Amino acid sequence: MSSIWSRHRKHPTDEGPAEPLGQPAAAGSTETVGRAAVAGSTEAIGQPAVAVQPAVAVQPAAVAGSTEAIAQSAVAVQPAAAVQPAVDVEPDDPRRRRRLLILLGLLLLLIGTLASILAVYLINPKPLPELLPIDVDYAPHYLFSVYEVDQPIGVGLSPDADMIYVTESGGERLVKMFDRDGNPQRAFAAAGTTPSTRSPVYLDTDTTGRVYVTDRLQHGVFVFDRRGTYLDTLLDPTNALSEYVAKSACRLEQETVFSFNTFEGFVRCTPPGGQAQTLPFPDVDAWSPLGIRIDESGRVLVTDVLQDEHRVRQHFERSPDDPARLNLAAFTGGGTGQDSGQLLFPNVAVADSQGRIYVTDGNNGRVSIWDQRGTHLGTIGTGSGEDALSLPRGAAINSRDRLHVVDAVGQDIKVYDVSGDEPVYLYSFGEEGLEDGQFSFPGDIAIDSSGRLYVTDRENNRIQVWSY
Amino acid sequence: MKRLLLVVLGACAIAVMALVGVAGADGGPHGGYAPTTDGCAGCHRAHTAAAPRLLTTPVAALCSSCHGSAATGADTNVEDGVYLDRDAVAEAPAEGVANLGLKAGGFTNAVMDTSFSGSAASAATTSAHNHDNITTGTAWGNGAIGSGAGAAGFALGCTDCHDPHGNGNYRILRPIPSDSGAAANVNVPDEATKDYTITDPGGQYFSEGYNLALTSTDPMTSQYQTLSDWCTQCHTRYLADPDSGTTDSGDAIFAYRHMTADTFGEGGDCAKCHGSPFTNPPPITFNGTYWNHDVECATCHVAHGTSAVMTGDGPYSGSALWPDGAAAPNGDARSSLLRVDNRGVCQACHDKPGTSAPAP
Repeated sequence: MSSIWSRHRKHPTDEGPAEPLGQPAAAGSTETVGRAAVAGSTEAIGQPAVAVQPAVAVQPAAVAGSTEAIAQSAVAVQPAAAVQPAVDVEPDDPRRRRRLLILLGLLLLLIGTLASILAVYLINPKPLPELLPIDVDYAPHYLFSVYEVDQPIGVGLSPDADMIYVTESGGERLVKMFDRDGNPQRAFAAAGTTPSTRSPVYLDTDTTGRVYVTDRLQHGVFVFDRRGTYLDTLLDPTNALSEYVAKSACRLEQETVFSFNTFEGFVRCTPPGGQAQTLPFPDVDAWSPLGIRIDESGRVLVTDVLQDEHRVRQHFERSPDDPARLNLAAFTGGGTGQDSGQLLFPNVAVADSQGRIYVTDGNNGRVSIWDQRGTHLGTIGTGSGEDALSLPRGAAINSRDRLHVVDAVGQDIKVYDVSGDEPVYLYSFGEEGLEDGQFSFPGDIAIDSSGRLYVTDRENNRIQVWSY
Repeated sequence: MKRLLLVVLGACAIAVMALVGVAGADGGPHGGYAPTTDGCAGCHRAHTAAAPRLLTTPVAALCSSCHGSAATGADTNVEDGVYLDRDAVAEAPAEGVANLGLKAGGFTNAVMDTSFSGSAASAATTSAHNHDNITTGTAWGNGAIGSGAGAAGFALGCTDCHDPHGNGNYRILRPIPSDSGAAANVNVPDEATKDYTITDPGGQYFSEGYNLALTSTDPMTSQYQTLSDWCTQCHTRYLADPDSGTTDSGDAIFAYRHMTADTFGEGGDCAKCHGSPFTNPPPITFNGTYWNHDVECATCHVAHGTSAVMTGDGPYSGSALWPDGAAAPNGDARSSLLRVDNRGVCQACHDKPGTSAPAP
């Protein structure tokens, strides 16, 4: 303050009024009002005019409408000299300039940071919670819906998330393919099946883009290329139809056409340039695949609801070129039931970043957790709190280990943070209804790296797209 | 108020305890509740329910979540009328055969050999009971003698016939179907061992039904009768004893009716079939394969839906008028939940080849 004040005194237009201003202030009586109002302390009374002077600069405002003497004083200092320095000296103030420079620097830093975030986002679109290295936990918001599906159940995405695949449980029971904006692309079904003999349920894609679709009626997994061309059928945990055909008289060549329908009880096969043949029903092991998930590491997790042996099967080290090389060994072994470690219609199994497996244990109304060795760790969603699950179906985990569980009867998606030692319930989104953002028996969920969520909304005949 | 609350809570506790015993026959979410069950919250909310009966959601689509075509929560796919279980460990006895038709048929598709071709095929149903709680129809024959064709505007849902909490009855059938107007309970005893599918590997449904094996071992004791009693709580005037084919009931529409109640021979009337003096087998010509002392609703009809078609030689089956005199729907839609194409169910018993002795 003193330096600022000293510059005021040196100002050429300030010299005359300086003394008279100080004198009346020191004279006592009514002037003390002005001084007290400005100085805010009785010490100012005994101080020289230098100390009192600032009071004059602001006095007009401080004592407006006060006594006449004050008014006179105000008149005495009225010459713009008392106010003008506040404006005129600013550019010459190195401290202010330093402050401005600091502010400017901070502003540039902020702009640079935001620009960097924007650039990173544009290069690799991800939701805010994934972009920032801080915990940002909020529910996603509704974007839009994709229609032209009949009672959809399962949903999956191509590896680069530019295509959405959906299974239908109504109508023709097709697998339908949409682009990222929801525009229909193609619809396809397994060769040799009819609407009344197929029931595609869950699906997922591998890193090469092949689409794997479980079929409840056919007790198998159909494999398609990314455009929906039928490739093969997994007849049981270790055998593919292509292997069976290769060993048959039909032979397996590039143009060999083959199909399988469990209700027909035989295999149809047409070799290149040859005539259609009927092959006997393959001798396969019993299984009943329901859900399938394939993660980026190539791990395949299949839920098997063979009646007395509800379990999860998994496969590692998949050959990228040959889907027939799957070997889906049993991962859980507790059997069918309601006890700890048992499963009752497990729908899907997903893995977190630490390799723990989360199984939506449908009819037990819970998610069962297992470590990488198949040891049962615990459950999520039991009880009656807001985190309780009614009928868990599909599930997905994003890159921040947020487990998203579709609750078909709860009519919402429940989200748990499973990044730590103990799962933590975060929030749910959606509710029962027909409007945007409301569900009527949601079935499955898929999440892409940009933070978009795709949820099948069965009875509303649509896929809802949400985003963080 | 507190006393009332305690009474209600006490009643609930007693009900739950009671269910533990009686509902144990039905697993999964349909019963077997422990005193500290976690199952209620699967479908209900005590204070935040979104639908009547404290359900979290309207009941119409709830059942389809498990028993629909995706069957993500059950092996009994009632939409396609097929049993999905494939046991690695053989049950003794088996509860059913994978990919074989459910006894009740299906609502959307059915795996049946309605043409008696020798092999079952999955095909779209031609007639089925409504089950969405929305679509309405007529409960033919509902009501007392002389009360018209039946109750119109009848909306049916799964839980009108089945008790989702389990009750120990066959297929958890309610003692009284909702809105049937019936006054007395009909409890249909459960099978000693559940058998969800028909027994004929070829998918021929005729005479496949409730407790067939038990009845066959004791032909003079009608086990079918109870199921007919149950069906006719809604279809009241279809309940008819063996004399109803020759005795006028007094009803303008349902005057003479095929028997659905009692068994041949009950009351000592063996001579009607076996003649006098008694001869066995009876001199009248029944189809030997399907002959039985019992005739009940499920002998000729399935409960959920059939794929039988009405495209026979004559114009008869597909154009038969409905009890209210309406001509539509006709064609295949006139299949009336029958187990055989056209009116093959008649021939299956009465066997009219034109070369045998006259049937009754």
